[in-house]
Amino acid sequence: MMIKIRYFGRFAIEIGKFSEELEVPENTTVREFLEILREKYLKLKDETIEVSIGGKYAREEDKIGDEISIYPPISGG
Amino acid sequence: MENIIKYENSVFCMIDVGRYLRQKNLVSQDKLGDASVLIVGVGGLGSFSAIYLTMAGIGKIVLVDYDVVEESNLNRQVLYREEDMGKKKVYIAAKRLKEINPQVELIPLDGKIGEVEIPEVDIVVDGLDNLEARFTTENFALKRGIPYVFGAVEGYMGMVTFIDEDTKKLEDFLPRIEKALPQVLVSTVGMIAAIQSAEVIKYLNSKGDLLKNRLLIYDALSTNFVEVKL
Repeated sequence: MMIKIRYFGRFAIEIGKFSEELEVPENTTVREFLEILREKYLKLKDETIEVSIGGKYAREEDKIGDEISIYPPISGG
Repeated sequence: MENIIKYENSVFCMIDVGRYLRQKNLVSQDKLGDASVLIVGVGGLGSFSAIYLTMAGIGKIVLVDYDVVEESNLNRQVLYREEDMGKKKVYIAAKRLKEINPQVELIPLDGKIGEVEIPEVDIVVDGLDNLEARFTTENFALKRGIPYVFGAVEGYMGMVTFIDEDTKKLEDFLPRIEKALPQVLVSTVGMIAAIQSAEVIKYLNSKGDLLKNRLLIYDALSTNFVEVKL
């Protein structure tokens, strides 16, 4: 399936783009999707990545959807 | 202009009508004037929130911070000047805020959340820069049965949500992973604090749709907001 990914915060800077489309297998879980992403972008290899699917907070066991946003957890102030 | 009305033996100082003329149709000034807000941390986020809420005319603002002003604060912590370096933030903050709006009662508390005694307040605003203190602050607010307006920033990005006893909590969406001394941009800090302050004002006036179970993420670099349903 084709998914659209939006990158936020330092992830967009690290990989050099705000969004892209990516082909992933049907029924891919968030955990599997993150493995694909970390393989594609080595700069994300050691990052903790938060994911929302269709605007909803997603956990690792959730199935991926076609509108994905990824962002880092942040704690500055 | 200050209106003073005499009732028999008492003197009541009324709210300064002129100061709030341009927001009188937006909020109940009495509700803001009767409210007390706790701002935990008066660094980047806390400085801006404190200014916004002081200008809006919150009756009492309690400030908690144990830190002193450092040179590296001056790129974003809008309440401080070079001459303040080495001085305790809470006292400088209270002094500057009093200059901005003398009608607001300011209570500076030098110490850490969880360690200093905090008077009764209506709502808690996150002005912190680390996760541990945020979890302590959330716990404090929930134990008191009052809301906690979470905010955090890093680089060009910030996030904000409204937490109370019925909403998702920090542990539901915020992994306990900390980046040491992240880069922080003043514009992002100001934006997130502005949203936090607006949530406080809305809550105190029972107005609008609060950011409950909604994590709002702002990315200044792409000029985008994204809302994540929690």
